[in-house]
Amino acid sequence: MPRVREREYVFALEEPDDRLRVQIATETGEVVAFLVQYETYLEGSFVPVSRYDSAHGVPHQDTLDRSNRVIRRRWLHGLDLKDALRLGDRDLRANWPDYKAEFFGVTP
Amino acid sequence: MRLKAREQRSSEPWDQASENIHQAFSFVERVIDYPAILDELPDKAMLAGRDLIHRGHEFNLIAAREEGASEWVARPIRYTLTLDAPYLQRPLVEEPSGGADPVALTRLFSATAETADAAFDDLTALLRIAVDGALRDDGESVGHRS
Repeated sequence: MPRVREREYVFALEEPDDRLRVQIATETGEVVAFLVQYETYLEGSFVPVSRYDSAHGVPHQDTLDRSNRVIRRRWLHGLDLKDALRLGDRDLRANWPDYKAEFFGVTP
Repeated sequence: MRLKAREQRSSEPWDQASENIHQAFSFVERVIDYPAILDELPDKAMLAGRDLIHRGHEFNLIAAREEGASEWVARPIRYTLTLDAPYLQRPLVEEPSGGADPVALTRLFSATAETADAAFDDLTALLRIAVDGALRDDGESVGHRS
């Protein structure tokens, strides 16, 4: 049975308290899933704020609160992995400060 | 249709955070095309990205700092010839089909430094020399044939 192999990387943003965590899963040499997650520093650790993810079979964006709960899920039906990545690229570049502000404004 | 990154940059505010976000998403796209790139990068590394276009040769560079390490290692992870490439230009490394080999260059060129920017600067200098040398060689060989 083919084994899924996961790798993880981190890209810093300009602020030391903000970063992107990237996970890539491969199976028999092909990428089968990805996660690009915007994280911010809160109370001693990095926590997820918004992520583009191909889990659950359909690419989607999750927005989370300070309790690590998904408060909004946007399904990206009809988009393949690359289309979802391009959408995530544009969206996070334009909106990551707003996601951060919302994250810290949401009462858990 | 997706605009090339450099076209987007002319019409959008583009700060360091935008560049880093773009590099992260582009990295995953490149891995989808060439998963073998992952074999050249340590798992759980800190990464940074930079693009280089020199005389029509376009390189996407990734610098990696392995967990617990103090130095960054920069490598090209994607390589293409743009339409702006001089007529005589050939790729630095060719696939059997004659195109630019995007992964082989990863194993041929690298630079190590204490910061990602310094590693990128050193690698950029190496790649510029390689491109300039290839262009000179191409010109000489064509001149010889004629």
